[in-house]
Amino acid sequence: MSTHGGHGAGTAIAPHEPVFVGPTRARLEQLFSKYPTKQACLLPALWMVQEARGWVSEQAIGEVAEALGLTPAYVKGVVTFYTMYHTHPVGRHFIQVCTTSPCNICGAEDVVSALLEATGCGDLGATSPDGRFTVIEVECLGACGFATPILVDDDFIENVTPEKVPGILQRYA
Amino acid sequence: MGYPHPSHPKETVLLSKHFGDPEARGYAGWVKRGGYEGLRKALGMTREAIVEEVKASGLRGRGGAGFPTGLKWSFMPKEVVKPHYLVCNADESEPGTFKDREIMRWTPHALIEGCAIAAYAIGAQRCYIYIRGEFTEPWAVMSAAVEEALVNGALGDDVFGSGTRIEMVLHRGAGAYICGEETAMMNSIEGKRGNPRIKPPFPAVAGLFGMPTTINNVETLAAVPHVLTRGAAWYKSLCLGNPKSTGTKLVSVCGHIQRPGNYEVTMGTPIRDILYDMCGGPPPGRTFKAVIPGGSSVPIMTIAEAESALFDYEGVVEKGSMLGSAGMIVMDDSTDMVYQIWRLARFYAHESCAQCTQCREGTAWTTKVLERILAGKGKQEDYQLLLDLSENMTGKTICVLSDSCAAPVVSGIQKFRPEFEAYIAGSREPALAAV
Repeated sequence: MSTHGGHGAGTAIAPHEPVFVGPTRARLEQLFSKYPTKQACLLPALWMVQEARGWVSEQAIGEVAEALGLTPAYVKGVVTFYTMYHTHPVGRHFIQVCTTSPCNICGAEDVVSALLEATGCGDLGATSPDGRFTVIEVECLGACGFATPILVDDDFIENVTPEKVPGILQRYA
Repeated sequence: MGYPHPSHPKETVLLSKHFGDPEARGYAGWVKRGGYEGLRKALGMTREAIVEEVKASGLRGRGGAGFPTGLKWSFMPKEVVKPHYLVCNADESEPGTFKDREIMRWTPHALIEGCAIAAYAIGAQRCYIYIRGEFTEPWAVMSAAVEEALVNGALGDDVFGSGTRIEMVLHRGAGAYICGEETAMMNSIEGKRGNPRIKPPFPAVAGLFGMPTTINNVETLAAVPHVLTRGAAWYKSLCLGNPKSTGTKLVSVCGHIQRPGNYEVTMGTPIRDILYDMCGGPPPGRTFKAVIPGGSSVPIMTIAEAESALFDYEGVVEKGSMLGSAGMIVMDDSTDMVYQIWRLARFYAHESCAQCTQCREGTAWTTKVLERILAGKGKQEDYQLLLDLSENMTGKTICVLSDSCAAPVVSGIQKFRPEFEAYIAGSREPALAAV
């Protein structure tokens, strides 16, 4: 599968453990009452997959499709439209750095360089050799007055400068 | 409060009064500060009376378009024969804008109350609040607040014993600027790719799930309780410039400025007061060069234009730009305008949903031409090429994303041409490697 390329072949071919069982299944079914169609539960269901597995695999796409009465091709079309769903495994900690103009003029590109160096990722989108981090550049995080904001997993951190990078990374094993 | 700074005497704090106060986040703390009085009052009024009150207040959409809120609500069918929906647009993604984030982080109940009033007024029993996926903290705060509102009877099957049913569902986006466009947002909630829809039909006729729908911005809805509690006449009296622009507006100021943050001003306040008095002017030793006053999708203003403009819908238009979302991006004399215009074009190319040819091709092509200029390979013909591209991207697509890409390019060439010229003539070192 090309979408899994280069990111740990072992993970890609492991048999798929269903996500929507037990409490996760119950959570999904609770959602059904909040929308008039099952299809509308697609984005929340994909979030549940990513929460459980860290990324959205082909097999998970198949499982979501079956749970919501959609085709896998349709679900994949939606997954690939949105930038926050990972279609391949990423590091244990996923770092998103805003580099859009307001942050750009306040030095966001230097924050990116500092992060790439300190994490050992080297390149944007690549995972560090120890599997700890993946760093990507993202468009406007909506906190322009607190340049540069970064998102480490679900932690939204404001006013990041290159100097603060090592201290921030220490918090993430 | 001009969060994160103390309130400035020239501010009029209404929505931002409790920013930074953790106690205001909870239901009890909010009620202590006068919360939910607007909703209680609204529940004792007819739906039509609420719509009329909001119309009379002059409140206009704070998301960017500035459409009169009460008028929008009045487009909904009078009789509720099929489900009506309210959608709250909390997909704040317009570069330069970060006001809705603070409303949700600090005063979640202000938004819930505004949503509940609006839902009741338009005959909707369910409201979806679409929060962008990156807003993890606002999501957590809003989730807790909705639960609390439900427990306290401000939401649910019988809101404050009135017999009215209002359900609130938070829906998380997943990274797509275009989902802030109202029809793309509806598709996204329906579990589809976030492609904008052709209008008509307008949402009030056939919107979310094909049902009558109203979509309002976070700030618009958060202002509604104030209109109800203090009255339309009072709200309308908050006006320093044009009577068509009333109330207060949150302005997010960012970029090269001493005190970036959110400020709240009465409509019609001089932009000069915001830049210098509230925000403290440019960084030491620098001077301002340009201001993008309404989020990145509006024409760039020179500092002279910005300094002479009044901050309201008409005042900014008069000086050649638009109020938009009031996300003010300030650039000082150290800014490479060509580089930043390229960076904005790249943003739009990245965020194009690729549905319309003019946008899909135009945003990418514009980005490439600007890249070429920055790499020192620009040609004299490139000005006309960029302007032609922009012309083909304006008013020709389903939504206005490509128009938004054209705005900074066209205004940038008009107002900062010598900076382009320096790259093209080779008198400035290339900023990018040749591709």
